[in-house]
Amino acid sequence: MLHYIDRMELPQWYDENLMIMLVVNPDTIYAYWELSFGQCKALNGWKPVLKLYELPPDKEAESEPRLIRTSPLPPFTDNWYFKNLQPQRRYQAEIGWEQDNHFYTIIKSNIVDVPPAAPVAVPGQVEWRAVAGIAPSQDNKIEYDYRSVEDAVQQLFNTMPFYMGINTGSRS
Amino acid sequence: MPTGYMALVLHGHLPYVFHPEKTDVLEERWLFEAITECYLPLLSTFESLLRDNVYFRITLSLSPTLITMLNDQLLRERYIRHLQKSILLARLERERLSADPNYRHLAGFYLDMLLRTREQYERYECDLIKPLRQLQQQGCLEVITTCATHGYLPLINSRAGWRAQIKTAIDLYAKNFDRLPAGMWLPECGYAPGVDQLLGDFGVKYFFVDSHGITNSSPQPVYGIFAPLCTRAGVAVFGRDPDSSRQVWDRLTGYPGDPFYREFYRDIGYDLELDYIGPFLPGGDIRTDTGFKYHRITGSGPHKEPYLPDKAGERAAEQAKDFVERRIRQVEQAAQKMQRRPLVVAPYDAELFGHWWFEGPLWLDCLCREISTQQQLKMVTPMEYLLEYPENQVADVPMCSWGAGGYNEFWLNPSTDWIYKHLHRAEDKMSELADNYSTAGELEKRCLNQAARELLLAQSSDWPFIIHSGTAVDYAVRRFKNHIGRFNLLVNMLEGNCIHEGMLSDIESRSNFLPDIDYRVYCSNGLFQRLSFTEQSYRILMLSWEYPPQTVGGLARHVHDLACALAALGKKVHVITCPTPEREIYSLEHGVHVHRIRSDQLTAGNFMDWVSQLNEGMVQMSDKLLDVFGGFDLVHAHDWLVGAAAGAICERLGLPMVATIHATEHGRNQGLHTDLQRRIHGLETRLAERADLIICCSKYMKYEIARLFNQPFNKITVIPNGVEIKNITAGLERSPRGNGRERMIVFLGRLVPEKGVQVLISALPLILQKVGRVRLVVAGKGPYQPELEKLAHGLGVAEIVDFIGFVGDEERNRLLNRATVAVFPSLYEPFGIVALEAMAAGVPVVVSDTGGLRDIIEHGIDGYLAPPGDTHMLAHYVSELIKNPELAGHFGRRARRSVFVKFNWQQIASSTLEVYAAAVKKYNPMATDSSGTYKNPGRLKQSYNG
Repeated sequence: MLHYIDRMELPQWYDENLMIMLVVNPDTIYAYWELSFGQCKALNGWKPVLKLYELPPDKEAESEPRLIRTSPLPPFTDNWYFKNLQPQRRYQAEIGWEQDNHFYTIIKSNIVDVPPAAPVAVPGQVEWRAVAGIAPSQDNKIEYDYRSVEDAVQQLFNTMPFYMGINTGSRS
Repeated sequence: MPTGYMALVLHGHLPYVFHPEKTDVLEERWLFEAITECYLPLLSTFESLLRDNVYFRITLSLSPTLITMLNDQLLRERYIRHLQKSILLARLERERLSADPNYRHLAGFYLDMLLRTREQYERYECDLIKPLRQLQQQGCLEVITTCATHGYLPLINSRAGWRAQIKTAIDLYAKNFDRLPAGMWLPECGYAPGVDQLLGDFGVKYFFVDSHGITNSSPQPVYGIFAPLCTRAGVAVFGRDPDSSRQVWDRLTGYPGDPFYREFYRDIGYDLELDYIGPFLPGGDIRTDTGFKYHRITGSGPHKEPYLPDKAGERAAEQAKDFVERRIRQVEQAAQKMQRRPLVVAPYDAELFGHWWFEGPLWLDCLCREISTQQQLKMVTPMEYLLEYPENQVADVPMCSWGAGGYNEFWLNPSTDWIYKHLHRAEDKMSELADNYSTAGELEKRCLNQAARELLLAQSSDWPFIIHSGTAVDYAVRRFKNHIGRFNLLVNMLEGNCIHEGMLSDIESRSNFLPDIDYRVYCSNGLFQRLSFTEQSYRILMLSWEYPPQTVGGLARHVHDLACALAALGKKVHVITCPTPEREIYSLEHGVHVHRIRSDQLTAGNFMDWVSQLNEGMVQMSDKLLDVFGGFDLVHAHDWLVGAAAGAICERLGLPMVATIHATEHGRNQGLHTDLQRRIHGLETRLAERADLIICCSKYMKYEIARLFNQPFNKITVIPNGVEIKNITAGLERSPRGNGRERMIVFLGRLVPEKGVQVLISALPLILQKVGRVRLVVAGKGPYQPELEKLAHGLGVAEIVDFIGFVGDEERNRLLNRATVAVFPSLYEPFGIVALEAMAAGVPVVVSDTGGLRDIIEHGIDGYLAPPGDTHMLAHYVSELIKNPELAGHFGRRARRSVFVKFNWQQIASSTLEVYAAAVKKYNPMATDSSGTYKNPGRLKQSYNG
């Protein structure tokens, strides 16, 4: 008989409010949610509806999100895949219910940025920068023409302190 | 001189499989097979190359779980037992095959191999890390590591979760290799924007992504995958070369599919009678691989010819030659289009070599020898390449992985999606516990550390990988459930305040992983874990016209709290500010040096003249400071009032400037209506233009600044304001919040139209209708109060609305403590600090979906957002929270936590330091910090050439 800590089970429910979206790939998002008991009460017996919005790109945050999907949720649904989306956009989902032309949102998801599916066509300004912690130098070509392994080992030994992030000022 | 370089990268990883509670565990064989077939043969290859003076460079990533298992005493003993048993089988096999005319040539093949294996393992005294460490010291190997349990970063939900995976891995690596890893292998090459920042924080210089991670970066990389990129956090990213991967990985056309190579899928564990092979199978009858395989791939059909080792060896040598020729052609072509030597990065799973591809180690041996015989292509490690080319193109790398499809679907799909709710909830819980237990007793500490281990182990990318591949699904599911289950058990013990020591010990006994883990790695504020050498010790000169005890608006408080938080992080902070009768010209307050200009310098009656005098005084003061305290690294100006002084000081001392713009004249007045306003706007514009980088408190302000002062977005960083939670609870009797008393809606703020109190009053009749009797308490004063009173009268709600005027801090705290719900219905709000204060007090809030408020609230999780100006919706959400105390309780608890996580001063100071670092770099791109830098080169070269 297995010890009980070797046959653990998962809780069905944590009694928390959460709605998380995760990127699957550039055209698919997965959403899951959990509504606390209090939140279920806020649903008021209305049929929940899931909506997906495309958010304006960062630079135009003042324009409004665009509703792109509305799906009435079948009973006991707690996750959803949004498919065939446009890559390289920002999305947010919400759950709520509708009554007399008002949509009452009970919970909103996090915002996800979906990656591009292809090289971006935007020509950008090319900028160069030294990798942090590596000093740029005009004169830092490593020479590889060792005469022997001993030379190679000696050379690496010489460079080791730099790999360790130690200043060799005191060595020579 | 070579035309180009190749970096060969092997990634070694196995999930943590350790079952002291059982013997003869099938899954422990994963490790044993890999030691026999991959790790020892690879080590032999490296040693033989070294012995023969062959120049080679290989980068080897070892996962912390693998390192731990290789070092584990129990697993070492079990491996030796396994090996002995295999040798026994090999002896039986030698006899069996000697009598078989078709396989006689293979009799003794495995026996010889296994005896060599045993001899090698004994020679290493069971310690595989030691020879690897030596090879690294000799320079042929660059050993790096990956996340602690191979957690797949793009699907981990929090920064703290990322940090724990990275930090614990680096600690474990350092313990084993006596240095920090130069680079990091991201599990499954899974990258998400932001990971680079954490890697940089821990001193990691590079990581790898799949080819499309590079080609889909923005702006487009000019060298494609033939050179690394540099992320904005300053970490190098190397992209996998698709051609060299295809040649090795591709099932049909790749090298390992050669008809002469050993067939993996024909094993005597499946082929022979149970009464013969049974004793060598787990449980005596579970059919599995034994490693004894006698056939070659032959063709795609079921018929397989006997394996011919010599012929296979010839093929490996031919293919190595072919591979090198192709790489040379590749670098020759690439070099024509580049102003530097191209680099081909060829990463593979280490377990491919020897296990799946039996001839892999031999191929690798031939490859290194082949490369060393010619001049066009050289092997390098990524670090060597970066030392030669430290400057690389800056780009934003998108989310990507090397899994099927190139993104997350291999780990997130209908067969595995159910795991993420549990993982994310555990991450969240772990951070909360780490924050709550900044100190813990011995037993609590053990419990917290074990919870952290269980979470890390549950995050292993192997579980969803195995589940989706359909190979050992039951085992992966069981492991996942056990880790999450144990985590939840530990959390319940902690939160229930009854830790059962026996149960804790039982759980601890199930893993021997990360013995030194510190659960505080999960703190929401990760500052204390940063490596000290990545921290620059800045000397900051801050200018602010007001500073406590003199406070007019929120500015003084902000500058004070920021300066103190920076000083607490060990930075030297000097503030120059206005005089006040309560303080001397110089004072040291909470570690901050405060300098006040003399009051006789401020004589003007006219406001703008007074501002000029203030700025002149500040410049003079800075001169004196220079003499007494030495130089500064940068100037941080707060708002336009000190803009002129900041500009002059930066000019004179050659310093970068960071400016925080707290509010704008245009925003405050909804336009520029007077000459004075236009003049101030002009000074604000000059400050924004002059500053190297700008800080503001909300996204809303960022757009406003960008638009009003015509500034680029990438110059402006949003750092939210902070709330000191202890200030909110000060002066409170310990009574449960709002319980059983009158239901009270609270508003705090100035009474001006843009705060939207009129919307709230207009919503009152509807709220009354929905929930019955309530009171509205309006705290604050302002010119709009008479209008609001008139409105309340007009709507017939005057008697339930109390205008209580301005309240001090303690009164505010008492009010919040009694509130059922706090409402901030602003029409314009750059930030909304009062909403944060209400949240910090644990009051459920309803705020307008506008400006800075929009970024504070997560709708339905820690509060509600209502469309600005919409009485109907406002009434709905306010009523909902009054009617539904359970939900209100949930929101209140989450709100408190959100404030703690997102709006605390330590976090703000940490973000501010990042801006400082960026400003210093922007101002002087050649500057490097004094301590943690790889300063190669010129000097060194002299030392070994001469």
